[in-house]
Amino acid sequence: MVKARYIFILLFLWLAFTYFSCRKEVRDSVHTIPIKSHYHKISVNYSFDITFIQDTVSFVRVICAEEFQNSLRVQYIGDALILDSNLKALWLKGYPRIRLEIHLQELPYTEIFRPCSIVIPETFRTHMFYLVDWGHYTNLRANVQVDFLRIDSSGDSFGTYRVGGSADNAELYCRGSAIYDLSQLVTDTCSAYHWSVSDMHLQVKHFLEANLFSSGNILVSGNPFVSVNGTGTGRVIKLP
Amino acid sequence: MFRSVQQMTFLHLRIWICFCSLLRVSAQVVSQDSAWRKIVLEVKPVWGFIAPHHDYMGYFLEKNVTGFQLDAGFKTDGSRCWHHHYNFPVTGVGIYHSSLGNDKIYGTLTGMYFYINRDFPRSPGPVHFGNAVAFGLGYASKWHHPQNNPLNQVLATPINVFLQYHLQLSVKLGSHAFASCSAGLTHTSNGNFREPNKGFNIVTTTMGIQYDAFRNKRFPDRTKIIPCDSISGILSLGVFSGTKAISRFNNSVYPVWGISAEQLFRLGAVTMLGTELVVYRDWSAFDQVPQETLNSKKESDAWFAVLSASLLLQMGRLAFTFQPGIYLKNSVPGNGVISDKLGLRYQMTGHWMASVSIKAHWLAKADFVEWAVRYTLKKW
Repeated sequence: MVKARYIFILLFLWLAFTYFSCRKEVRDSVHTIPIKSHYHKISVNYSFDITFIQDTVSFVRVICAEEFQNSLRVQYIGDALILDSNLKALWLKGYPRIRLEIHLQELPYTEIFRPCSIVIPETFRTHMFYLVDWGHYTNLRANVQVDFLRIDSSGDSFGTYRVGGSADNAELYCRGSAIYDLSQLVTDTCSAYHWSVSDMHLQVKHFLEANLFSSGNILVSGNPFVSVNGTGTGRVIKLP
Repeated sequence: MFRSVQQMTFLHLRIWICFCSLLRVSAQVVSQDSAWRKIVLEVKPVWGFIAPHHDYMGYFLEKNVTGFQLDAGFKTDGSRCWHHHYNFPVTGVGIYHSSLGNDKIYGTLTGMYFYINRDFPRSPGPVHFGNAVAFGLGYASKWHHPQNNPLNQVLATPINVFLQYHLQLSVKLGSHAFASCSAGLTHTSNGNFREPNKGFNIVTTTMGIQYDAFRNKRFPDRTKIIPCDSISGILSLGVFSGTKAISRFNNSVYPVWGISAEQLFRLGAVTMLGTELVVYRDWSAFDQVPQETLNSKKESDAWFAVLSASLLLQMGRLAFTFQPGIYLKNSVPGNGVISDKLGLRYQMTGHWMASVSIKAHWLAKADFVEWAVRYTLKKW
């Protein structure tokens, strides 16, 4: 009996030590991975905090704890850059976030398959910004100056997509309960396909094609000519 | 969340009043006299983690789960047949409180439950191994709101079902004191009463201290042969209702009504096995059929039929029910072919029973909470 008691006390102390040792603070380290300068596509297959920065040299800066640096998988399949990680059992590792600073000359077509944060802090001047979110959640904060902008979100999306800057032409496919706030993006023409139950905010100068299929409204400023289609109960509301 | 300190205090007061009332009821259930001499108290800090079953649940997790659990129960004394067959379990009530991995989005979970805690076959030494099952209600301090909390896609209601299963090891420390540790799964969800209803699965471990006033005393009736239920079969009819939601994009709640017939046969002293045939009308069916078939929808599409096996584990008037089954008629493709039901049944009188069950598709995709009354047509 005494033996069992001591075993139990030792087990208790070991578990307590394990628990408290898991709470240590971890410092981030920075590694740089050179990548090709041009891609047709970027696929994001893991939850990252991504920052796109326009640069003359292409590389990925990985910011996370040293022990997780090796978990990042940067692969090329054809003309596509695949970003992935084999990090699992996050409850044992303190729920780390891997931050990627991607330096590129121009933005390729971007596909997202897992919840992500995507930030473009400074105006990115390029031909096109084309983002498809196949997952459920993306937190997008972008500032672009492009000829063509397109954003697609999935039917289960509850992400937030905030874009500023300017675009000659924009196509938006908003589904689920996604929030599209493009009130700071000046577009000449825009086609909006709105399946979301949330409101969409736009700023259009000349022509807006509004296709409404749900209860979400489109709030538009810039006094464009508006063509309304669709079977939804949402409305187009012009703002001054 | 709370508008004032008074409101928070009032909530805590109500929780304590409920807890004390449940404890009193539990004492009455266990024994007519000297219940307090059989009391078992246990205080357990809780450590664990959320097991996310969707990537967006995992994305918002920032930390592991910490909390506490407080159990107060009574040792069964062997005066009833089921006490012997379940190895003299402890029954009582408890409170669970823990974080949920993200204080801003998921908040905390407070559960209040009935539990049954039993040792596996008793060993003479100081080390005991057993398991515990808990059923009750859980209060989540944060839930989904389209504007105020859109990132919580796990729970849509503050009040939810609370379930827990733990394997437990206890070691004697003194004449009435035991150290205990346990590991298991804690679940909370709203039974699809509102969407979203992904629910939390929490892998929980505890290490605590148990005070058992009865542990070292002799079981007065342990050697006494208590006659068990002599009924070898039951044929009963039931009527049930429930409500369900199918989408987080609208506030529609649909009713479900149905009837069932069940025949049970005695399998063991405290177990019964049988089959149940259920027919019900689900008003949500028309909104779940594929868009391309909407024009050809028929009244019969809203009717469903399920054939299940029924396993009852009886504890006096109370019984746990496990009912895996298959759909005989199902017009919603997403439901699959497997139907599953887990519940509690209470014998109110000789002929009448009340029950509450969670019905699910496949193994754990909740469909609705089924509230039922049953009438026994025939016993033999």
